Amino acid sequence: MLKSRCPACGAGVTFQSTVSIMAVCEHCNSTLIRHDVDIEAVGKMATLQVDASPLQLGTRGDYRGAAFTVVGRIQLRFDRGLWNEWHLLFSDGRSGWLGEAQGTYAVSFLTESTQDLPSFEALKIGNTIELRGEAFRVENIESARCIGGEGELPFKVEGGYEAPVADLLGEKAAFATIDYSEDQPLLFVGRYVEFDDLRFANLREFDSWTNSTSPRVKSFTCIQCGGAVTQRALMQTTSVVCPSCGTVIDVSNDNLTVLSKYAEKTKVRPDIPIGSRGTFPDGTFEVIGFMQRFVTVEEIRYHWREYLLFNPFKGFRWLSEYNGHWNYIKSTPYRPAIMGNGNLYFKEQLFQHFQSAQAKVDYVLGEFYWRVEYGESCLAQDFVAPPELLSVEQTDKEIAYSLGRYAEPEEIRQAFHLTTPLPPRIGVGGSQPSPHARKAAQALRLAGLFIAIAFLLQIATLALSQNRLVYQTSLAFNAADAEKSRVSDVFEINGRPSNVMVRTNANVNNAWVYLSMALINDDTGTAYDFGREISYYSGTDSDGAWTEGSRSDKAFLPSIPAGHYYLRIEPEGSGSTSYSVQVYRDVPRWWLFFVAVGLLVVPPVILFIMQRSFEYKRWSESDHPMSKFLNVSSGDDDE
Amino acid sequence: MIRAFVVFAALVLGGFAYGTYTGASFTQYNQINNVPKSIRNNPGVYRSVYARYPHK
Repeated sequence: MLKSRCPACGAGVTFQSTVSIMAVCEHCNSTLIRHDVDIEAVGKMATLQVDASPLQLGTRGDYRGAAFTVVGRIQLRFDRGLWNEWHLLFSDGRSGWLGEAQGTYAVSFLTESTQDLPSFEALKIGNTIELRGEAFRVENIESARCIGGEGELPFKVEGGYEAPVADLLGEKAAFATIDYSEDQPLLFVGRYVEFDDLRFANLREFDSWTNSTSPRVKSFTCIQCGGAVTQRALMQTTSVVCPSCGTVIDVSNDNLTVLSKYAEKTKVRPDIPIGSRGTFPDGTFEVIGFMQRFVTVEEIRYHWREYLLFNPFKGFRWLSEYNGHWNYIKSTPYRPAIMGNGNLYFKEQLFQHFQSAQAKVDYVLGEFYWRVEYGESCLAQDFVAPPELLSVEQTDKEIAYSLGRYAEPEEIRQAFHLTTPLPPRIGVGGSQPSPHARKAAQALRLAGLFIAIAFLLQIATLALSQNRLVYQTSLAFNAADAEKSRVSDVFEINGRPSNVMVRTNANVNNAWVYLSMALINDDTGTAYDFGREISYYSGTDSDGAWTEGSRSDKAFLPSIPAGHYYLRIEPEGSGSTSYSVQVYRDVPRWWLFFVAVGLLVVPPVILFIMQRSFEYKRWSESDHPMSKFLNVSSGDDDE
Repeated sequence: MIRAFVVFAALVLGGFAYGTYTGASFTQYNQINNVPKSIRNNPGVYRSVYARYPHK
């Protein structure tokens, strides 16, 4: 650490980092250059623009276990507004950078490139470059202009210089910037990070966000119609729409200019008013912008609405609404893997392609962090893994990935304390979680469990049943007999009340015999009366030999109590024949098991049909409608 | 829905267990109480309700 005095005003100046060669005097704004122990004032630093960054000099934080302090800043302007590069001094002496723009944060370190970096002109969005053995994709190409600096910096900074830069993205939110403002391009490699992950302390205070003071808004007069215009997310947004005439005004600098004019007469009223604040699991956000976009499919316009949400610390979020279905969306630095079938693999989850179309803006209200214009378009692609939605929007200059989560209308209503009704849900939303999917899977698992229980019961029955022959006899039927009825000997049936199987065999050929039988309990006088026919026919015809019927039969009498029994048999027939009778006790059977299994699979089948019906409706709104209701794989049906 | 399925399955399994235990069957039969003891000596005194069962 070097402590000295400002040569211009005499105020105390401290160089906390040994790598810092430049500092801006806090008192007189002089640019001070350090020469070993001497300090030279080389001029005045341009005044930085007031912005809504939550960071300030002296803010502390933690990056991957290493504590840091913000000791300097370079402020730049790029196409979408202001961009800060905060100079970090780590507790271990390292010097790093925290890039901050529109609520996205990336920590990076100056890194020596192991190969020649491509020229700025050779870069194209989507190109892949290998940097230090890791593949990076070009995501953004900008020519930023330096506004100025503050605090201490590791190199000399002057306001107004052009900084052509390219942002690249690698696996797992790896981040790289190539800075072409020097003769030799400089490579910075690091990682995108979430605001909460950096565990900041000593942040700026924001009225109405960190205290109960009324929110600070900037008001000005519309340069087109003279109406009152309000800007809420100060300096985080670059375009504001006049609520009176719909003119989009560029507010990126003090020279307000018209970006585009609203030509339509119809105004769209947002369901959530601009200025409303809503609380979501990741924080409280304020609605600062509203836009309606549309895609045209087969000459039909399909409109949906998007709300831009803002929090000075967390940045921006989106709420989208289509046909009463809502998604809470946040841009993501993670990039998906593109599968061969056009689907995406993202964070260990498969996202199925849902829809691709050229999306156009046809109505805007409020303010936005880019220069929004009526009619501006991009290729919008949606991929779904309900309840999540991965949205990819591509223009010539950038590819933006956003991860959304389906939000129930009630969640939106409660988040914003809305008293007016939200649009009713129509159909099934692309990312709407199926209410049947979990139940169907659960029912299937339960059905498996119940069937296993039934099977174990069946096995136990097979093992424990007597299945015992208790009586058998052979008899003859003579049609000429005056009394054909016969009674058997008494036999014993024991055990619990269970079934009795009476098996009969008759030596019939092209004939029949009918046996009227009664199983009579000799102890109680209870008779179980039943009749069985045995018939067997055979022959030949033009199709060859045929047979019909059977020479044997089985009859099962249920719940027969133990006791002494005999059979009374009264035969009838088309002719004389011999026949035999066998009586078995407690014979295990399978039919009841199959009936039970059949009943147990009914509920899962009903839930499966409901689930398929839900998916059928979902995909009917996509580029891949299911051609068949029971198609298991949606998404490939029209290919 | 799942709770209803569990209740339904419990009823099905209970019915299955009871039916298996008692040897449930669809065989048509008729239970007649207090048939005379003399059937063993004179089978003709008993007339089966199935004796006139329609057949070929």
